[in-house]
Amino acid sequence: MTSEEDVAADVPEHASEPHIGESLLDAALDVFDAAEEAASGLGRTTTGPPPHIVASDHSPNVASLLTNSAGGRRETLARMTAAGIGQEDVQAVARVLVGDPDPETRLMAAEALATSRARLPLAVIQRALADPQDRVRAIAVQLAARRGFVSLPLLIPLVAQRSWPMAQAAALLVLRRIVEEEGQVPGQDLRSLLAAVADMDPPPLPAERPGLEALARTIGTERLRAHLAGSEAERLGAARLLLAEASPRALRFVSGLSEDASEEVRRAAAAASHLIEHQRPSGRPVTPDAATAAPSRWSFASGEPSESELVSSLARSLADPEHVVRRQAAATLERLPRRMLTDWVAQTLEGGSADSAAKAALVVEHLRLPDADEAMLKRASGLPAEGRAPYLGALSALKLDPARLAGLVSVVDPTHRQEAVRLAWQLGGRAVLPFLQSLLEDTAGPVRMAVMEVLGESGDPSAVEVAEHLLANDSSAAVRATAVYILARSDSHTRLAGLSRALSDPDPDVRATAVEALPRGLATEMVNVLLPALHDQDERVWQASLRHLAALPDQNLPLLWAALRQSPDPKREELVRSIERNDPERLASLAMQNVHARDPADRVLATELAARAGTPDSTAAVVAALSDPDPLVRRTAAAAMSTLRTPAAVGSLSRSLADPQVDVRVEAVRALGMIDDDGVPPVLIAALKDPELRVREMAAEALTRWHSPAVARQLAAALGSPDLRRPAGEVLARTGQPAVDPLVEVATGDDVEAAAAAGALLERIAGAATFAAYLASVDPETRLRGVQVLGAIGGSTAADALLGALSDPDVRIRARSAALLGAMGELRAVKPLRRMFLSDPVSEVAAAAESALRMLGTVPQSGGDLRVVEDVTENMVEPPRE
Amino acid sequence: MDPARSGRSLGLSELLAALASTDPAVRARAIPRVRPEPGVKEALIEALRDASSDVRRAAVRGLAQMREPGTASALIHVSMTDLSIVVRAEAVAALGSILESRTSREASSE
Repeated sequence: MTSEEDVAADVPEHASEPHIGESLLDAALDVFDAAEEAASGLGRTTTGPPPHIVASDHSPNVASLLTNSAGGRRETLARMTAAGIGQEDVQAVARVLVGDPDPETRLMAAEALATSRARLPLAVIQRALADPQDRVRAIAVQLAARRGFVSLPLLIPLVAQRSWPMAQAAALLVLRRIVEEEGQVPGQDLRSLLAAVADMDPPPLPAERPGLEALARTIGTERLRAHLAGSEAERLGAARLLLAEASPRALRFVSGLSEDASEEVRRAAAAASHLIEHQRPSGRPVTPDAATAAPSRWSFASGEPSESELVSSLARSLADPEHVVRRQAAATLERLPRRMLTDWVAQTLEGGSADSAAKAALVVEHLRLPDADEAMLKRASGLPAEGRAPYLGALSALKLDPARLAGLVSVVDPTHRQEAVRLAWQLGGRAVLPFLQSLLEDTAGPVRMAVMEVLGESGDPSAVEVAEHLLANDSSAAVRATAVYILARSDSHTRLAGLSRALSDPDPDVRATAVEALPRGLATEMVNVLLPALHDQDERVWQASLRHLAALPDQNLPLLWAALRQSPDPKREELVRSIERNDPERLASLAMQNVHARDPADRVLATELAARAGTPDSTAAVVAALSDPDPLVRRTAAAAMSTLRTPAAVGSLSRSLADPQVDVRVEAVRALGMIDDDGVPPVLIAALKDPELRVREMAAEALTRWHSPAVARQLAAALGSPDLRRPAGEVLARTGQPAVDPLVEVATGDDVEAAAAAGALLERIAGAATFAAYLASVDPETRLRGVQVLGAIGGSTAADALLGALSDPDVRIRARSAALLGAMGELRAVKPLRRMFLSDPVSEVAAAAESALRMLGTVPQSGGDLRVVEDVTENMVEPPRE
Repeated sequence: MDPARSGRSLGLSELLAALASTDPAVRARAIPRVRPEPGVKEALIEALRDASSDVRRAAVRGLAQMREPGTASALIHVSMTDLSIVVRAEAVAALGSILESRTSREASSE
C-alpha cells in the first residue's frame, strides 16, 4: 500500500454515542448525530461502511479543545497533530473544524484531519466545504475525496467556483483521483460536471486548463464524445473538456460542432479547429510502435522556462492542496537566493497578473519577506474584498509594527488609500489606531472618512472628540455625515448636542444623516429636533424624520398631531403611511383624541384619520361626523364613507341627502353608491329628483353601476312617477338588457303613461322586432305578452305584427290586437277589422273590432253589408267619410 | 531477464524494453540506471504518464538529473497536475534543484 493509499484508508468503525460537551463548540457540531440523515439528503447512499466517528469522552485532548482560549486550542491541535490524530480524537477535532470561531484553528484542525485516516460524515464535510477560508475548503475537498463517489455531488460544483481558487484546484485534482480509483463516473454526476464546466463564464482559464485536461483524460475521450449530442449544457461542457484535453482525436470531435445551435459550442469548435491547424507533433518517438499508438503525446514549451517561471511554478505549489507538497515547495524556495526571490516578488506584485501576484503573496507569507510589505498593501487595497485573502495572509505573517503598517497607508495610491486604512485596521487591530489618526489630515475626504469609521468601529474614546471636531470643521459633507454616525452612538448629552448641530448643517445629506442616526424611541429632549427636521425643505431630511415621528411614545402624541396638522398634504400623507406601517392602532388613537376638538380643522383631519383607521370606534366617529355643525366636517365624513363602505351608514347618509350643502349631498350619494346594501337603491332613486344636477348625475351613475335586475325593477316602477319618469328612464336605458323584463312588466301594466314610457325604452334597448318574434310562439300567453308590448311600443313594425295577430286562434289575442290597432290609429287595419267585425264567430272579438273601427272613424252599417268591406281599398291612408 | 538488475548502466533500447514491462518495479528500477543519450529524455517524459507513481517519481528524478532543455517544462506540468503527492513533491524538489544550479552557475560566472 502506498503512502497515499494509507492516507485514504478507512478507519475501523465503532458505534458511538455523540458527545454532548460543555462548551460553545458543541453548538457547532452535533452534526455527527444526524450525519447519515444529511448524507442521504445528498441523494446517495454510501457503498462502504457507515462513517461513524469514534468519540471518547475520556480523551485528555478533548477538554483542551474545548477551552475558551484560541491559543490554547491551537497548542492542543499542534500537539495532537505531532503525535498523530488517534481514532479517539477525530470527533473532537472535527468539532473544531466546523465550529471553532478562530479561522487559524479551523485550518489547523483541517490539516490535522487530513493527516489522519478519518472518513468524516458527509454532513461534516459539507460544512467544512462552506468554510470562509479557501484553504480550509481545499483541505475539506481532500477529506471529501475519501468518501469516493458519494462525495461527487459536493465536489462537482466546486469545479466552477473561481472565487475559491484553492478549493477549485483541489476539487479538480481529487475528482480525477476518485474517477481513477472508483471507475467510471456515474452518468448523473457526469452530466452535473458537464453542466458545471459549461457554466464557467468566462470559459476555462489558463490556470484551470491543466486540471480539466487531466480530468478529461481520466473520463475518456469516447465517453465525453457521446455527450456532444446531448443537451446544450452537456455539449458545451463536453466540448470544453475535450478542448482542454487537446488530443488530435478530441479536437477533431469538437471541431465537428461548427454548425451547433449554441454560440458557445461553435466558439469551442472554432478554437479546436485553430488548435488542429497549429498543432505540431513534438519530441521523438520512444519506439515506432509507441509513436503510432500514442497520438496524444505530451507537448511542452520548446523554450526553457525562465527563472521567473520556475519560481512561479514553485510558488504555485505553495497552494497545493497537499501539505507535503506545500512543505516541499516552501523548503525549496527557502534554499534559493533571497535577493532573487525578493526581486521576483517585487516585479510580480508591481506588474504581474492577479494570479501571479497571488502566488507572490504566498511566497511572502511562507518566506516572510518584509521588503514586500508596501507592494502587498498597495495591491490588496486595489482589490475587492474577496480577492484579498492571499495578501492579508502574507501581511499577517509579516507581523508588521503598527507604526510601519500605518505609515504604509500613506504611500498607497490616493484612489485606494481609504481601503488601505481599513486593511491596516483589520491587520493591526487596536494597536494601529494611534498611528492612523495622522491620516485625519489627509487631503482626500474618503481617507478621513475611513479613519473616522475605523475609530468608530473600535469604540476608542478619542472617536467622539474627533467626530465633534470633524462635524464642526471638516470641509467634506461625507466626513461630517460619518462623524454624525459616531456621535449618534455616544452618550445622550454628546449625542443631543452633536445631532442638533448636524441638523443645522448646510448640507442636506448631513442633516438627513443626523435624523436617520437618531435612536428609536427618542428621549424627550431629542423630540424637539424632529419638527424642524420635518419642516426641512430637503426631501431626504423630512423623509428621514417620518420614521421617528411615527414611532414617538404615547406621551408625545400631541407632537405627532401637531406634525400632521402643520404638514402640507403630500408630507402628511407620507407621515400617515409611516404611522400605519408602524402601528395602525395609533391612527385611531390620534383620531379619537381629536374628533371632538373645538377647531373644525382638527375635526376634519380627525375624521379623515378615523375613516382611514377603520376600527369600529373610529367608524362610528365618522358616522357621527355626518351630523357635525361644520359643513366641511360633514362633507369630509360623507366622502370618508366611500372608503368605509359600511351598511351601518346607510341611514345616516340617507339623512345627509337632505343636507343644505350640495357638496355634502354629492359625497353622500357617492358613498351610498359604494355600499352593497338593499336599502341603497331606493335612496339613490329618490336622489334622482334632487334639484342639483351633480347630485342627480351622481345618483344615476351609482344606480347604473349596480347592473342588477332588482334595481332595474325598482327603477321601472319609478316610471309611474311623473317626476322620476325621465331620470329613471335614462338610468334604465343605460342599464340595458337587465332592464328588459322589468320594463315588459310595466309595458303590460294598467298605467298607460308608464306603459308608453316603458315601451319607448324597450324599443331603445331591445327593438320591436324582438317582441314581434314572440307572436310565433306556440304558447298563447307569450303571444299575448308580445301583443301587449308591441302595443306599448307602437310604430310600423309593431303594427305589422299586430295586423298578423288579428287572425290568431286565441280569442284574447285577436281582441287585444284589434283594440291596440284601433288605439294606434292604424288605417291599414280597417279592412281586416271590418272583416273581423262581420265574420268573426266570437262576439267578444267582433265587439273589439267594432270598437277599434270606431276609433279609426269608420263604423259598419249593418252586420251583413259585405260591400262596405270590399269597397275599402288596401291603400287607405285617410279615414273614409261617413 | 530484468536488465535493471544487472547493475550496469542501460542504453535507450534497454530502457524502452524495461518500460514495456508489465511489472511497475521493473519499469521503476530501469530509469535510474539509464545512460544519457539521444532519445532518453523523450522516453522519460513519456514515463511521466506511467500508471505507477513509483515509475513517474523515478522519471522525475531522472529528468532532474539530466538537466536537459525541455525537462523543466515537463516537471512544471507534473508539479501542477500529477495525482500523486510524492510525485508532485518530487517534481517540486527537482525544479528547485534546477533553479539552484542555474543560480549558482550565474553566481560563479559573475
